[in-house]
Amino acid sequence: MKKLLNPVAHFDERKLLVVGLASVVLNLAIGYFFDLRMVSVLKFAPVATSFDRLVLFTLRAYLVAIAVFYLYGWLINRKTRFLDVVNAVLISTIPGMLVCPFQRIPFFSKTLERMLENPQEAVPSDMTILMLFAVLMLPFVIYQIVLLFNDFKTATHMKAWYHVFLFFVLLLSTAFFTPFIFKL
Amino acid sequence: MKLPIICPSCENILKVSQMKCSRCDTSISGNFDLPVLLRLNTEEQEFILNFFLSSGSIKEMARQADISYPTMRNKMDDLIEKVKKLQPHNPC
Repeated sequence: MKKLLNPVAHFDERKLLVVGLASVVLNLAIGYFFDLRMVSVLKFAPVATSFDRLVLFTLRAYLVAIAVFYLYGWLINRKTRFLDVVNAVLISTIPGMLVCPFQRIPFFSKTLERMLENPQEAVPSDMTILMLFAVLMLPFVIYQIVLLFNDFKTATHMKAWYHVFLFFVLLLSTAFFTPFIFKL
Repeated sequence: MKLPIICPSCENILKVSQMKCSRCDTSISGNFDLPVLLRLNTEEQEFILNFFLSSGSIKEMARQADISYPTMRNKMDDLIEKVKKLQPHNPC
């Protein structure tokens, strides 16, 4: 169980890199077949797009996260290796990408569309479905954040509370600002 | 026999007060500090010994312990910090 919560601490970096790179391919396949776009490391949006643009958007999300966290890791600890941060970012996106096709289940997607178009006309059953969707997604999002935090902590040997605080500020900033960096 | 380094009563680090020649029974008394490496616990001493026996390769140590390189390096960094704190200050 510990290994699944902190792979960077337990597995060989080359094996993790292979799994991480395979996950990028899987991410592109999921995005292509389910019309989903990786907006940032924490967010997938249901948008139909061409494969070329899908690749660009996905790579941007990964590269921005890797650059931000490697720079931060290097500032915390000069011994931080680029490879460990790359593995941390790539591995952490796996739970999110596996669960995001749920957004395409008509039962959920139609309710979501209805609520986004006319939030005032939402009926109690829509709210229940939305809550059910959130309850289903939440453990995966939490697992994703736990993976990134634990792996980053191992990669950088982060200990101070203010480093941890800044990590979460950076994580939320990366999730929010990635779409505005390198406008595609 | 395991060398005690911590006082069982107050948990302070012990000092050497007497050394004895096992051949002629000559005794020397005084108030000597334990060397830095002897002030580490058994596990930490074994870690340093393993590091030496692995020709100073953290990667090799990680492979033997079946953990990742960063985990082993973090253990090493913690130990370096501890040894630095135990070292007497350099009067420059």
